[in-house]
Amino acid sequence: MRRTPVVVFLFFLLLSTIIVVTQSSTASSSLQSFFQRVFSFPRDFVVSLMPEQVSNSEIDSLRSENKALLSKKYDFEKLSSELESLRNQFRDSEDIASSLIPARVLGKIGDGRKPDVLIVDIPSGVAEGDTALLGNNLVGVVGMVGGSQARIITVNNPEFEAVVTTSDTGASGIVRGSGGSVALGEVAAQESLRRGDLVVTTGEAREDVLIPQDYVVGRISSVNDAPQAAFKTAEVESLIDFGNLSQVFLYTK
Amino acid sequence: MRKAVVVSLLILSLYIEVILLHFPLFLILSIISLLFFREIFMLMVVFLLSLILDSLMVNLFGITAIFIFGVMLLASMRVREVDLRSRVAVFFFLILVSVFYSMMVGYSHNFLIYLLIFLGYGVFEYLYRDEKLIGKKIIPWV
Repeated sequence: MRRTPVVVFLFFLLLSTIIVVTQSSTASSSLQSFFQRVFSFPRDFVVSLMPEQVSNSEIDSLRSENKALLSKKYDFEKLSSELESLRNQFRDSEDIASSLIPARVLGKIGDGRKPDVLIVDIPSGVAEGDTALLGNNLVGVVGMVGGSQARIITVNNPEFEAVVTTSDTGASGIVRGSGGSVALGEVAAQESLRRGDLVVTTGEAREDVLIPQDYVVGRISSVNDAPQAAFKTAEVESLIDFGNLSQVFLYTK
Repeated sequence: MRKAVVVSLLILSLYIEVILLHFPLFLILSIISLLFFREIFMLMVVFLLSLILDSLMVNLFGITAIFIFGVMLLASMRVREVDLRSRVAVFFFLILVSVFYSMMVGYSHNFLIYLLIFLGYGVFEYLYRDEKLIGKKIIPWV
C-alpha cells in the first residue's frame, strides 16, 4: 500500500483551518446549507417517525380541557385588551409576537429529557444571541448559526446564564445551566427564596445576549440557605418538557 | 472491496452520531481508517464526510477535519527519540483527542463510554497485532 507523505496531511490540515477561519463567509454558509439540504434526509425521516406519545385518555382529557379553555378565552381576551391599553400608557413595549419565528427541533445533544443543546432549522435572519422561547417559557439562546440550522444553548447548558428575579419574593440573581439542571445564584443573603417560586427573566442584557423580560426560566425546587454564606443559591427546574419538544420560537432582535 | 466497506462504515457512523449517539464515533473511526488506508482517496472521503458532519451537527465548520488531520499529522512524525508513529502513541492520541473534541462540540462527558470504546480498540489492536483472531481467517478483510 502506498504511504501518504506528511505534506498531504499538512495540506488537509491547512485546508481545514482555512475553512474554520472563514466560517462566517457567505461561501461557507452556502456550503453548509447545501450539505444540510442534501444529507439531512435520514435525520428528517427519523424526526418525522417520532410518535407524539399521547394516549387516547390523554387526548380525551385534553379535549375537555380545550372546551373549558375556549369558554375562558372570551374573558381573557377582554382582560388582555384592557391590560394592553394600560401597558401602553405606562411604558413603550415592543411587539414581541411580530419578531417570533418558529423553528423545528431536529436534534438534541445531552440528556434527552434535559438536553444541553438543541439543533433547529432556521430561516434567514436568525443570529447568535437570539432567544428561543416556548409559550411564556425560556428555552435558551441561539449559540451558533451554520447554514440553515442553528444550535440553541438551552437553560440546562453550563454556558447559559441570565439575570432573573423571583415572581413572589422579587429576589434577584443569576441563573446558570449546570448540566441537566439550572442553578440560581448570586442572590443576596437578605433576600428571600421560596420553594415553588417562579424564576423569570428581568430583560437585562448579559454578555451581549438580551433575553426579553418576564419569561419563565423555571420553578425553584430546592433552596440552599446556608446561614454564614454571603449569597443564597437554589435549584431551578425548567417547566419545559424537553423530551417531547418538537418546536420552539426564536425571538430575533 | 475493503475500502467500500470502510467508507460505508464511516457514513453509517456519521449518521449514528448525528441521529442517535452523541459520541465522537466518526472521529475515532476516521482516524483508525486512515491508519489502515493512508491514501489520498480515503483522505478526501474523510475530509468531505467531516464537513457534512459539522454541517449537520452545526459544529464549527471544519473543526472535525482539524482534529482528524492534526492527529494523522502527529501520528506520521518522529520527534527526536519518541516515535509518534507507534500504535501506543496513536492510541494515546485517540483518547486525548476524542475527549477534547467532545468538550469542544458539547457532547456527553460520560467517561465510562470512552473507557469501554478504547478498551474495545485495545483488544482489537492486541488481536490484530498477534494475529490471534483477526487477520486471515475470522475477519479476512481486515
